[in-house]
Formats: sequence, structure tokens, C-alpha cells
Amino acid sequence: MHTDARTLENGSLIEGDICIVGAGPAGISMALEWQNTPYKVILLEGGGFEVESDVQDLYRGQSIGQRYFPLQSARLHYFGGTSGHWAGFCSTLDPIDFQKRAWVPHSGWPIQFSDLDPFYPRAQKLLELGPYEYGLNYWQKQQPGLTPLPLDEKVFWNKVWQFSPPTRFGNTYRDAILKARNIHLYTYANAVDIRADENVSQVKEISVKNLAGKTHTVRARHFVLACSAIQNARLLLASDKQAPSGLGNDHDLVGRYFMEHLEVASADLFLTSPAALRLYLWEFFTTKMRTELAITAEKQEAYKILNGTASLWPKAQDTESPAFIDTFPDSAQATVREWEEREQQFKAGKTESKPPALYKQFSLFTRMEQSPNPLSRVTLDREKDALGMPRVVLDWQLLPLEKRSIYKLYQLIGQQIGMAGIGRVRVQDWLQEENDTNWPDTLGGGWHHMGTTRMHDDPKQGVVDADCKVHGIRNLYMAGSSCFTTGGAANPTLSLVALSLRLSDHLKQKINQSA
Amino acid sequence: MKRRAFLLYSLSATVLALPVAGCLDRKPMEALAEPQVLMRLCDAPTIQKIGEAYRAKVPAESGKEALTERLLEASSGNPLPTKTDNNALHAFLSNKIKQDFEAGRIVTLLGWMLSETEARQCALFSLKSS
Repeated sequence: MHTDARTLENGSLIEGDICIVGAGPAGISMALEWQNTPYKVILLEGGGFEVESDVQDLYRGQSIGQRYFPLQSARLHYFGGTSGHWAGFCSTLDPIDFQKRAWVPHSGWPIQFSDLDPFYPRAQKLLELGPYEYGLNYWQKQQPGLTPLPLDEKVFWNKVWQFSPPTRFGNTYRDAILKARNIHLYTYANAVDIRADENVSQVKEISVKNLAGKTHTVRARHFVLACSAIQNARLLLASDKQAPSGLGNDHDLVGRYFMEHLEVASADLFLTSPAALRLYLWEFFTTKMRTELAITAEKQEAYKILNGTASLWPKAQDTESPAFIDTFPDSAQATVREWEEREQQFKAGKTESKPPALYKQFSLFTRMEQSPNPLSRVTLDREKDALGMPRVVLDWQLLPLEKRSIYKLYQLIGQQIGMAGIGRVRVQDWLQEENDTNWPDTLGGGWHHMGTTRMHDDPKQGVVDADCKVHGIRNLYMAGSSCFTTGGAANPTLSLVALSLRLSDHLKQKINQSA
Repeated sequence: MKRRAFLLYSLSATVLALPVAGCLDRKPMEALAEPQVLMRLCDAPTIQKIGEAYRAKVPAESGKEALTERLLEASSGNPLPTKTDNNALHAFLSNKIKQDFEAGRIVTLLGWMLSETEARQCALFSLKSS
């Protein structure tokens, strides 16, 4: 069922059992889990079914730290959320990502890989991926000829990625959501304030607004914020009428530990003999799986570095493509349009002609996790958006550990390639000195926002507990990558959907018990 | 300089005046100034610049004699060849380069991550035209 909240009488009261705020991959994945249950699910979406500039403007904010993408276009504020412009890269977190690592400050989730593992197969289906197989052996049997580089397996392993079509949640699941009798989608319903009981131990209601000037109230037994890492933090911080520093923020943690993946072209691999290296290659809308070179857990520990990978991109000649961060549009509509055009061109068979099948040179592209850092954070600005909500200020901060980890990653790749006698590696200028902590202008992120309501058993170290419940508030949950304690080396979508499904199961158990 | 190395070196009187590739009149010891893998990956001017960068980075090895001495240092498992032909020297140096990578004796020059041995080869190469 669907209601445009602009058409409701001002001051309407919306009631249900579960209220999910945000209809992106996390929110829609959760809502779908509740189809055909006796429970009424309220799904709130701030935008409509198309990207609109005035709605996107609600996400506009300042960036005062490390150079970052425009906030109003890095996240999409409409039904389907940011799946509207993602590329479909999926891989699981690794077991080491969950562990407390002495060399990574603030690492260690309260859950382990085995706790999330059962939910990955379900997430795979929602993201229209292949079988839940992330071992190279499986794929080599399926596709003979996927030959890895001859590197020492004690140093590098081939981490498998699978590729979603990519699933545009807004298109793929729109009918299912609209047809579900017990799921009530409200578009143009921006959550702007959360109100709790007198003790601030239980959420009573959420206030929603839209640009048509309507304000409504939503009441439910359980509330789930699934609005993205930045917006989840923003909503908690802005809900400060009863808790002056914001809801769930007794220990000044909400908005802190903002993490991204450090993504940047870092080096070139030159081979003495041309090779296809098909195992490592990716083409839009075509590739089902590929691998990236990942550092083994043992070597991460030995060198006291973060988890990260290097992907290979063929280079027809020794030229550099512009960095993503230099080309990312300010306009969210432009980002969606770009993807739609790519997809249409592909379907029409009008994609650029394929480069030759053998290559002598590859660009090596880093995806490195970020060390959790309390100074890397989201705060509220004095400026308010059109709905009267304070805008966000993003202060993305990096640490020397990240730079050293990337440096070491390429030292190891260079060493391994040299040992194998198959070529040489040439690193970029900014990676030539071990103690150089400067970053290049080309450094960007993967548009992966994580960590702002991090998970930890201790309320003094995390905003949510192992069940994604906000510490101290018994019916308020966070869904999505805002709960990530560390980011790992994998793109977050698969894991955030898996984590949301885990939360959904937890809520079902809880609601059934109380019934 | 050790005796064997000296003898080998003394045979290479003209080596440093030869072009890096396409030489038909190959002389003994030419291999010392021929970083074979790099020669397949980049052009002579690049090797020249890498060599100059090494000499600037390691001034103690900025001369032909010092470089040759280091290049002809034998190691356990990789003795100096008994023959002075280029093939034998290439095999010796190739082994030496592999050992460098295994032991982490890697130097980064103009971004290129090279074994110390091949960096010295580049340095020697750079001297021929300087």
C-alpha cells in the first residue's frame, strides 16, 4: 500500500507495529521480510519514486575534512535509495574484520562473521546475485580458465566479488511493497524528530514533514532508522528536545567514527608477457564474478596494517583516467541519469568496443578500510534545511595507519610480482616514501558511508548493541552500515542488507514474544 | 674488488659504450648494464632516469667500479659464473634479482619497485651515456 504523505490532512496520525524510516536497500529489505505477517509495517520515505532536486537538497551539507563527494548527490533520497546509482559490487566481510585487532584502535565487533554468515544467502537473493559462494575454487570449476596471478598464498588471496545486475531496489521491489497489504509505504514523509517517553528509554513517536508543508506523527511499537549512515546520525542528533546532545548520544558517540573505503588509483602493473587475467576483470552489466588481490589476515597482523584490496584495470596505453572524486556530479539526478544511460547503451548493444583481450599493463586500484576514528565525524550545522532540520557537517578524517597500510599493500604486491618474475610494479608519486603521510588529490571514497552509530556491547564505545538496538532505548534500532564497527575491505551493500535481515529476524522474535 | 670480479670487470672495457638493445656486437659483461625485465617494460630513456635516480639516492654506488663490484657479488646459492659470456651473467643476475625480491632488498625509483640488483644495472646503464 502506498500513500503520498503530501496528500494527507495536515497533522495526521499514522500507526503501526513497526516503523522503518528510509526506503533504501536496508529499509526495503527489512520491509519485504514482513510481507504477509499479521503486523502492520510503516515504511517512511522522504522522497518519491523519482529523484528530485528539492528533495535531494535536504541532504546537502558541508564537508570540512578530507575532500569528499557532494553530500546531496552521494546519497539518493527517493524510493530505492542509493541503489539507484550503485554499480552492484558485492562481497562479504572477512572473519578478521569482526575481530579485535590490537593494531587497529576501536576495532572489534560484538558479533563475529559466523553471526552474519547465515544471513548472507538471503541477502544474495535480494541483490539478485549468484550462489552464496565466495571461494575461488568454486568459480574456477564453473568457469575454467580463471587463472590467478602466481603470488604467495601466504601473502595474498583472491577475494571474490559478485556483481548484482545491479538491483535497483526502487524498480525491482516497488510492486512487492505496494501490493503488500500489511506494508504501508508513505512517500514524502521525512522523519525530522524522534520523541521518547519521559525517561527517554522508549520511543513514542516520530514527526514527519514534507515540502508541501504537512507534518504528521507516526507511532509504532518498534522504530528502525534505515536512512543511511549520515542521515541516521543526523536524525538522532537533531532529536534533542529531551536529550540535549541528541537521542542515544549519552556518551557523545553518535556521528563519530564515520568511515569510508579509501579508493584511489595507486600503481601500475607491467607484465613482461601480455595476459588476459580474466579472473580480475570487470565489465558493466556483464561480469558475474571477479577477484581482487587481498592481503591475508596473517600478513595484516604481521605488518600491523588494515584490510584492503587492489583491483586490476586494463590499460590500453599509459594514460590516467580522471579520479572519481573529480568527476562525481553535484546533481543526484545527473548521477542517476549517467547510470541509466550506461544501462540503456548496454542493452542496446551500443557500449564501446571491447579492448583487446590481452594486456601488458594494468592500473592497480586500492580499496582500503578506514581505521575507526572518533574524530572522523558527522555533526549538525547551524544552517537548517527547508524542513527546519539542521544540515550536516562532515569532517572526514584519516590517520597515518591508512596511508601506511596502502603503502605496505603495494610494497607486498611489488615484491610478489618481482619474485614471480612476471613483471614489475610502478607506484604513484604519493606512495614512494614509507613515512609520507600526505594524501593525493585523487583520493576518494566508494560512496560507502559507515560507522556513525557503531555497534559495541559497551554503551561507552558504541551507539547500538549486537542486535542493532540503540543502547538505553528499548524500541529504537539502526539498520544499515551506520552500525558497522569496522568497514572491512568489501563494498558494504551485501553486508548491510545481511545485517538488516538479521535485525528483522530479531524484531520478529521480539514482537512474537511480546504478543 | 674481489679477484674474480676484477677479472670479469676488466674484460668489459667497452661494455658501457654500447646501446642497450639491438646490439649485434655483444661484449662480455654487457649483461651487467642490461636490466632484462625492465628492458621489456620501458624504453632506454626511462632506464637512464631510473639509473640516475639510483646514483643520486646511493652516492656510494655512483661509479662504475662500485656498481660492478656490487653486481658481481656472489651469494650462497648463486655463485659467480665461471664463464664470462652474457648468458651466464644474465642467469647469475636473474638469480640475484630473485633473491633480492625474496629478501625484500627492494628499492623504489621513480615509482618503479625494483630489486637492488636491477637498480644497479640501471645505474650502470645510465653511466654509459653520461
